[in-house]
Amino acid sequence: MDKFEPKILGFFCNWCTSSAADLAGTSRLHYPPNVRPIRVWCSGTVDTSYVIRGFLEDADAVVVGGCHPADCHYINGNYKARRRIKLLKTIFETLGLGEDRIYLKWISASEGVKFVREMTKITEETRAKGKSPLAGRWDI
Amino acid sequence: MNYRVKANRDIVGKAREFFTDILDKNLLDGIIVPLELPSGKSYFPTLVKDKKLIERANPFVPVFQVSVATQVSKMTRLSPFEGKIGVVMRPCDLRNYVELIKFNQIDPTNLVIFGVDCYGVFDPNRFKDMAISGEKPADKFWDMVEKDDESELRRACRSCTTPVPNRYADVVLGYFGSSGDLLLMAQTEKGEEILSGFGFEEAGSLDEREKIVSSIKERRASFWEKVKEETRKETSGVDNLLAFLGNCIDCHNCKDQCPICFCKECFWESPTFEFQSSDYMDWANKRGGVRLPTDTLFFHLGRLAHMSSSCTGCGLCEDACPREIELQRLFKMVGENVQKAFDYEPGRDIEDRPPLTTFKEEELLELGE
Ligand code: SF4
Ligand code: SF4
Repeated sequence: MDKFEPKILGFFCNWCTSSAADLAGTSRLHYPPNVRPIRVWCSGTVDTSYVIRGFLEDADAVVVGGCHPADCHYINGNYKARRRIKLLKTIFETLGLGEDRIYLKWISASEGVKFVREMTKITEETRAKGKSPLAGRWDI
Repeated sequence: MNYRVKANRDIVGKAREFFTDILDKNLLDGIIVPLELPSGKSYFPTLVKDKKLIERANPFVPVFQVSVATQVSKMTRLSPFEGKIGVVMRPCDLRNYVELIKFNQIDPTNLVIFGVDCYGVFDPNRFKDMAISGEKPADKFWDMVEKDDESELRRACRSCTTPVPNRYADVVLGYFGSSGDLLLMAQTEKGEEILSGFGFEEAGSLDEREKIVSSIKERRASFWEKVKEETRKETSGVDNLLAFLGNCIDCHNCKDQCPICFCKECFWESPTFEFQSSDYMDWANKRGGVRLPTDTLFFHLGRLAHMSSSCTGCGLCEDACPREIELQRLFKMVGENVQKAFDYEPGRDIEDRPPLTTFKEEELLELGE
């Protein structure tokens, strides 16, 4: 059988984490192709339903990436994102749906190296966990 | 101040007299209270103007058809009442009311809240069947209260630890530990204003009431622990969860009746969910097939994400489900954990901000890194 390749869905804010991904690219740093990045204006725009949809569309992990606390381009979007991630993790934990597959990462525009490191780590962790229990179900 | 109206067990009769007098003396311009429908088979909250209709009123009726908080929201969203209106509410619905005020869905101006003691209610279909077969559920209820036998009541009620109204009731109409009398307790100035003119006698010691209420609370808390543990087992993991929700036909009755789901346009009914035939084919190609209707799990997980922080466990979702999915225990279990995570309790304090409408800079530091 082929080696399991996890699908990682990323919602990265425009001002920090997406810029870090760009920086990684222009610095010719490689990060795993397992990560499917989606650029959003702010981590605070990521509704809980985007993350749930991601899992129901076969993501094995979902990462929300935003600016460090106090650095949000929109002042406090990242704090709102943090509450939503806490909420989702609590629901997933209560229902045994794999809360450890939900990630929140603060990665600033200058942290191309951190971006690569975190994405690599998440990919490896998810590869070790295997397929998400919500992925690939026809009966949802 | 707490008052006692000698009732000789005719507690409902005394409550009717009280409301009739209120309308008579023009203390209020109307009262929203459950009224027996002309069919004699059911009760619905009714905005009563004509005091003659109060003959059919039963503020304690053991059936909970719809959220009164939701009805008051519909009535006051555009403009508040001009005259003073009394609203009879059971404790769970009073918590719904507090939540809806926080979400700016109710204008409480000119409302006077009459909270009632609540031993619990029958499932609405069972209430109807009993009424049709002549079992008189509204009367039978009082025997059950007296014997402290709750076995026939809804599971949601048997696991409810708030049988008495919170502090947002202006007046409490009580029967726990009243020795067959009607207790009238003013909790606010507005409430005292209504009660003070009646010359009721003082209630005296309420020790018996406190004893009964705390024993009900204790029993129900331990019952809920049991139910919660069973629910955790039955819904843990995607296979179990899908089996639990398996009969869902995606009718959305649960969210329509949920007082906390107040959005006028629900995301799950938006054009986001109008897919092309090719989208369905894509899913089928990827997964081998696609259950129809699809996205029922998404609907429930999404609803949990949007509203479980304010779920009061009232059980109206479950009552409304045509497929008898036991939603209340699922939502209450998840809601409790979510509420704990944010140190939040729906209905506790009108000044609390619902968890998803606020944040602190220094919190949840384990998240992010
Ligand atoms: S989810 Fe169910 S129990 Fe919770 S508030 Fe809504 S109707 Fe009541
Ligand atoms: S009321 Fe019942 S069948 Fe209808 S959407 Fe809710 S859970 Fe599904």
